[in-house]
Amino acid sequence: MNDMPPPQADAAPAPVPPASTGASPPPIAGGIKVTLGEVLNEISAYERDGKLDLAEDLAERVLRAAPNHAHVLHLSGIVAYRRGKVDLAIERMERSMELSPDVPVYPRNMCEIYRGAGQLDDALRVAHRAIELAPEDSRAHFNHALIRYERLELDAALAAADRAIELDANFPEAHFERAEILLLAGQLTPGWESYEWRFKLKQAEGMLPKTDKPQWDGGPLPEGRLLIVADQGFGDCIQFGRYIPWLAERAPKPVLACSGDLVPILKQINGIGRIVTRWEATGDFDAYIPLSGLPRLAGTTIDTIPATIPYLHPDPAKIAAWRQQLDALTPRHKKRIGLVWAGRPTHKNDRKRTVKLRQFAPLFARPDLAIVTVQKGDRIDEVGQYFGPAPLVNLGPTIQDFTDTLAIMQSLDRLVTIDTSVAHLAGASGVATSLILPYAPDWRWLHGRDDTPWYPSIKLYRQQRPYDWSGVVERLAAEI
Amino acid sequence: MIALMSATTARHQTSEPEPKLLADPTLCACNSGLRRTRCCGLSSAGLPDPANHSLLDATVELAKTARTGGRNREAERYLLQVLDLAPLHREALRVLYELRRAENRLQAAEALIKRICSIDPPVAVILLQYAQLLIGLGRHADAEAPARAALKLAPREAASHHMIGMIFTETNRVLAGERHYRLALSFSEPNDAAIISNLAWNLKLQGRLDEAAALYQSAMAQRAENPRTLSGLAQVEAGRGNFDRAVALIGQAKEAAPSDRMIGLLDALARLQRNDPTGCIERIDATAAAIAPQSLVATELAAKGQALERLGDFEAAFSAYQQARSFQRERAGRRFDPAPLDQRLAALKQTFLSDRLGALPRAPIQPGAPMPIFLLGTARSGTSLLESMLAQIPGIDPADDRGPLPDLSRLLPKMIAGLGGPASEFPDALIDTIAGDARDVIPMLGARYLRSLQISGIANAETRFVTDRSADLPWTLGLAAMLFPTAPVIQVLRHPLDVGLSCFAQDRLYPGNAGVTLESAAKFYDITMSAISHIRGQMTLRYLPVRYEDLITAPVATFARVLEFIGIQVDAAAALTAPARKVPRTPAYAVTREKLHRRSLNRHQNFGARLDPMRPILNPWIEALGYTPSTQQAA
Repeated sequence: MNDMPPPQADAAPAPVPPASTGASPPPIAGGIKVTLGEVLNEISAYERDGKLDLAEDLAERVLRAAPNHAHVLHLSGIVAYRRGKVDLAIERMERSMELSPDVPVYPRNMCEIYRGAGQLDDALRVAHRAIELAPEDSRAHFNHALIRYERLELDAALAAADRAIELDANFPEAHFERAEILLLAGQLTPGWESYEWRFKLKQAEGMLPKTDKPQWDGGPLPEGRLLIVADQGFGDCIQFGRYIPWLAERAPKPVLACSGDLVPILKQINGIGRIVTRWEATGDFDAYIPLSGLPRLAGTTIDTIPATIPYLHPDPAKIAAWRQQLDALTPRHKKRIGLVWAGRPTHKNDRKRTVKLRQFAPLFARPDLAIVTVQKGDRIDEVGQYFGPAPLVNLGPTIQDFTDTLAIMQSLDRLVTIDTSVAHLAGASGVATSLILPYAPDWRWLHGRDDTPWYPSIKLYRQQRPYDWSGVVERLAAEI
Repeated sequence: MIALMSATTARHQTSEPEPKLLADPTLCACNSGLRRTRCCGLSSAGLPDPANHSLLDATVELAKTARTGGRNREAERYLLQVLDLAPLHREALRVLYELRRAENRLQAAEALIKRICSIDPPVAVILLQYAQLLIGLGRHADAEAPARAALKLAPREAASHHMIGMIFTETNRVLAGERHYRLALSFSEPNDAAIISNLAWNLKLQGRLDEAAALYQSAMAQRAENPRTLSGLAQVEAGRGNFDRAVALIGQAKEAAPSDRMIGLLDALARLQRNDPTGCIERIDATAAAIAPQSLVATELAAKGQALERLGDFEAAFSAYQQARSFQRERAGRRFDPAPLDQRLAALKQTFLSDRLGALPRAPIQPGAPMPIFLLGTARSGTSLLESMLAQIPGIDPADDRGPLPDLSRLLPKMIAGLGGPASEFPDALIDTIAGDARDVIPMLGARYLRSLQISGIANAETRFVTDRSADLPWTLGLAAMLFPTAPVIQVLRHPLDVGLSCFAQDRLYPGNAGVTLESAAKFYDITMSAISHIRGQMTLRYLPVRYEDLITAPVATFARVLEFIGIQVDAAAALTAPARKVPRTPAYAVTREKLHRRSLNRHQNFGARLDPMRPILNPWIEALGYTPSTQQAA
C-alpha cells in the first residue's frame, strides 16, 4: 500500500486576504499588540507544525475578537478540521466563502474539506469555483483531480491532473495523482512512469538511502551488488516482493533493506542474498532499486502481472500449532471466517478503507460461521463491544508477527478484510479472501471488476456509492 | 493536654507563674462515659502499676453488687471512678463493657472490650466475646483476628472453633468453616444443637442439601420447635424442591415464634414464590402493623415491592423499592461510593494490555480434568438461568458462585512474593509472572483451581465441565483466561435497564454500596461491562454472547447454540424438558428457582420515566447491545 499521501490542501494559504471587518486582534504573549496578519501567521505556523491545540486556542481567541473575519473563519475552520471537528470546519469555512466569495484559496481548500466529509458534490462545486477564480492555479486543478478520482470519473480526473502538470511541470503531487489515475484505469505502462514521481513527494523523505549510486536500470549486476529497498507499506512490499525472483535472475543475491516486521515474510522469497534492517548495514552496492519500482522495470501490464501463487509459505509447525488452538477455540462444524476491519490509522486512505467491527453484522448473523479476528493495533478493542450472535475469537492479542497471521490463515475457510496488509498476505499465500473496497479504491485493485490479477484467491466487494458501505457486507455474507 | 516542663527548668527560664496541672474533663467520643484521656485517648505514660489495682477491687465489687441489684447508674459511677484511677483495670473494664453492651451503646462496648483484649495476658473468653460483638455487628472479617487469637489460646475449646467456623462460613470460606464446626462438635457435647444447626447451614451454603437436611433433623430431634432450625430446614427443603414441606416448616416456625420478623419474611417470600402476592403483602403488612411506628427493613420492603409488581401496581411497587433503598441509605448509612470501583477498573485497564500479556505464561490443559465454562455477566443479567440449563446435561456440574477464582486472585500476589518476586497486588501482580520462578505460578494456580473443585465436591469423577459464574468473574476474567485459555466464556446479555432495575428492586448491595440508588445500579453495570469489554479487547477468549431474552423466548434454539459452542452433542429440547438433574452441589439460587416465565422480559417498560436517572449511563450500552425498540418487541 502506498504510504505517501499527496498533499491534501494548503492549510496556510498565502497571501493573507484583506479582513472583512475592522476588528482588532486580541493581544497575545503578555498583552503586546500585534497585527492580525501576525496572529494569523502564528496560527498557520502552529497548524503547519502540528501544534493543533495551540493553533486552535489562538484561533478561537482571535475568532472571539473577530467573529466575522473571513480569513479568521477560514483558518480556524482548517484547524477545526485537523482536530476532527468536521462539521464545525465546514460551517466556518462556508461562512468565510460567503463573506469573501472571490478569494480563490477558500473554495480550493474547501474542496478538500468537503472531500474529507464525503460531500463529493459540494467538493466538485467548489473545485469548479476555485478554478473559475484562479484558472492558472495548478493546485486548484490538482484538488479537482482528487475529487474526480473519488467520484471514479477517471477521464475527468486525468484531464485535471494533466492541466495541473501543464501549469506546473514540477508538481510531484499532480504527477503522482496522474499515476494513481492511470494505474487504477489499468493503463499500467504510462502509470508506472508517472509513479516514479513518488520519491519527490514531501512525505517520501528518508524512504531511499542517501547515496550517489544510481537507481538500477534492470541491467545485469554482479552477485550481491544490488540493493533493494522495501520502500512502501507492508502490503506494497508483499505485493511487489513477487518481483524479487525476476530481479535475482539479473542481479543475483541482492541485498534487501526492509523493516524488521517484514523480515520473516520476505526472507521466504527466493533469490535474496541478505536482508538488512538498517541503512548502515547495507554494505557497498552498485545500484539500488525500490521494490515498488520493479513493476515498471519488468514492463508489467495487466496481462503480464506475475502471479505465481503462493509465493509466501507459512511454517508448517506454526500452522499445526495454530490449527490446534483454533480447533480448541472455535466450534466444530462452523466455517471459520477470519476478519480484519481496520488499517493503520496513519495511512492516507484509512478513513476510506477502515470500517467498524459492528458493520460486519450481516456476517455475524450467519448461524454457520465462527469469527476469528486477526486484527492488530489499537482498534482491536472494538472486540470488547462485539455482542453479535456468532462465536468470536479475538486472536489479535496472541498474534506476534506476520508469520503467525500467515499460519492462522491456513486454518480459516475464508478471510474477510479491508484493504490492508493482511489482504496481501492472504493473496500471496493463496488464501480465499473477500476484500471490501471503497468506491474509489487504491489503484492496485483497478475498477469495474470483482477479481484482481495480482491475487487470484481474492474476491473484491466494492462500495456502490462513495463512502457508503451499505450492501457490501450483505453481498459478501450471502456469498460465503 | 498541658505541656509539662520540669519545675526546675521552668524557674530558670521564666518568671511567669507555674502552669496549673488540670485534669482534662473531655468525655470520650465513644460514649463510654470515661474521660477521653482514660479511654480512647489513653496514653501508656503514667499508667498505674497493675499490681496496685487491687486497692480498687473493693469498689469494683460494689459496682458488681449494684449491677446485680439492677442499680446500673450506681454501678456505672463506681466503675467510672475506678477506671479514672486505673484505666486498665480488667475487671472494671469488663463490667463496664457488659453494662454498655446491655445499653446497646455498641461503640463504647467495642472500645472497652478491645481495650480488655490488649491487656496481657490475653484471655480466650474475652477474645471470643470481642469476636462475638463484631459478628453481631455484621463485621465477620474484623472478628477473625480476636477469634484466631482465642483459638490459639484454647485450641481444644469448642466455642473457639464454633466462633471461627461462623466467621469462615460467613466470609465465603465455607470448607474451612465446615472443618471448624466439625472440630467444635468433637470438643463439645456431641449433640450441641447450635453447632449442628450452624454446620447444617454451612452445608446448605455448599449446596450439600441432603446432608444439611439430615443435620437439621438431628438438631430438631433435640429441640423440635427451635424456630431458627425450622426456618433453616425450610430453606433446605425449598432447595431440594420440596416446597410443600418447606411451607409446612415455615408454618411450624411461625407458631414457635409468631413475632419473629425473619420467619415472617420467609413466610411472605414463600407466598410470593407460590404466586400468592396478595398473601405476601398481607404478611408483610402484618409485620408492619406489629412493629409500628418502627419501619420495615429493606428486605421486607423489597419483597413487598416484588409482590406489588406481580399484581401490576407498578407505582406502589416502585415506591416500595425506593423505601427499601432509602432505609439502607438513611438508617444504615449505606451511601454509594464509586471510587473503589473506578480504581478497580483503572487498575484492570492498566494491567490487561495485549502487549503486556502476550509473553506471560499460560496454564497447560490438564488431560482428563474438568474444563470450566465461564458464565460471564453483570449482576442480575441471568447467568444462573443459563447455568441451571447447562446443569441438565450429565457431566456439566454447576459451581454457582462457589468457584475458587476470587481466592486464587488473592493468592497469586502472595505466591509471587513467596517465590522471590515483587510484592504487588492483583491484577498488577499478574504481570510479575513474566520473570523467574513466578512463571510457575499460573500453572500452579490452574492446578489448584481444579483441585479446589474436587475438594469442595463441585466436581466428581463424572464431571466433564464445571460452570463457574463467580460474581467476581468480570474482574478475574483475565486470570481465568490465563489459567484456562481454551475454556468457553459465555456472556449473558440482558437489556441494561432490566439489569439496572433488577439490581435496584431488591435489598442486596454490591461493591461500593452499588444498588442503593438507581444511578449507582447503572454505574455498577457500566463499570462491570467496561471491565468485561476491556478484557475481551485485549485477550484471546473462546467467547459467545447469549441474550437472556433469547433464553426465555427461544430456550431450545438458544440452548442448542450454546451446546454447539461448547462442543456437546445433546438434544437441547429433551434436556430442558427432563426433570431437574441432581447435581453434586446444589446452587444457592435453587431455593428461589421458578419455572421459566416472561415477567422479567422488558420489565423496565412497566416503570417508564421512573428509571430515567439510569438512562444517561445506560444508553450507550443499550445502543451497543442493539436493544433498539424493534428488538425489544422482537424479544
